Amino acid sequence: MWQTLQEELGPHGLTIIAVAIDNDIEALREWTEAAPGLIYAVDREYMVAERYGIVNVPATVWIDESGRIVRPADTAMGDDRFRDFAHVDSSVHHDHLRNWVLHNERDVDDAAVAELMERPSPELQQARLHRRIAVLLHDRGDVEGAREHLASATALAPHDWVIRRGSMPMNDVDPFGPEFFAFVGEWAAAGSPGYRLGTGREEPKGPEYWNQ
Amino acid sequence: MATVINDVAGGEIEHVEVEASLGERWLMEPAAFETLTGWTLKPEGMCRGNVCAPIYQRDAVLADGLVDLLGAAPVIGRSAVVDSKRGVAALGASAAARGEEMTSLQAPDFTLNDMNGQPVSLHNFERRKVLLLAWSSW
Repeated sequence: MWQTLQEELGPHGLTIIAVAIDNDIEALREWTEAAPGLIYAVDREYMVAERYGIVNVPATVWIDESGRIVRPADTAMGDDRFRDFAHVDSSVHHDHLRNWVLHNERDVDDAAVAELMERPSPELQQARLHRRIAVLLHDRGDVEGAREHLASATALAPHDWVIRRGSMPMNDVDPFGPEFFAFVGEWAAAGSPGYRLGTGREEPKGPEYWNQ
Repeated sequence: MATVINDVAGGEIEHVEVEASLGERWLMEPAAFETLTGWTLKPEGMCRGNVCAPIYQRDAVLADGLVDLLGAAPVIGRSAVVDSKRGVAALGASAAARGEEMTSLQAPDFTLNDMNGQPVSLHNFERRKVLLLAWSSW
């Protein structure tokens, strides 16, 4: 769907840069080959995630023609294939996007954008550094060393999806397996941090739902 | 030799090989620390240009004339994680600096590689509306 939106809105001035918050380039190829019309970039070190406050994927940030952030990181689905799981109606975000590109109308103003930016805690910054070390060690084949640093990162940022879930493949953990669902339950019990805008969210799900 | 994963101004990551004395602590000659960070050890503190940051906890920052990377990072407004056993450290922005940058709402430029190893920069798309779409394989 993102590629369709690029085709639809590109002539009206929109460029989608699809930034993979991921250190496994080979695992990304099946997705990029399925939608070859988008511009791709790989954020192995989580630098874009850090600087734009991205704590989960898929998420979008809007940047206007003058280089200003005009909509903060917000969960946004390309289509409704995860609707039963994530309870997000993807079309709501797409309609907001059309309004912005075609009519310069936004659903959030500057004050709200500043308020909604996810400013990092010192612990989250430390977690990102641990993850960066883990990626380097993993690249060098030091799986044990990578695990230690991923464990430290998780302890420091237990509710950050890109830290927590993004570490699962390096730890040989299934990102759709039991550990993931346990994490989602924990995250929901903590009040679903990081879902502050919640565009298209159909109804908030409490921990009881995730722990079923 | 040891490796520092350094987040340099402009938001890019460099892997820097440095000389360090690694034991319980990650210690560096002041000159090596200066090359890495741009900050110089002087009697008045850690200095860069006309700015000097005083060192309050000398024992955490200095040892026998060497600079402790972990202890010195907060003095120069950075955050650090060190793994002396494996000879790898990461040096990043402080949470406060990152938070300030975010509140400015100025979109930070970045350069990352595409799937073929070619650089892609935000500034390539000036005067366009950009949808930054964060995604992943996991």
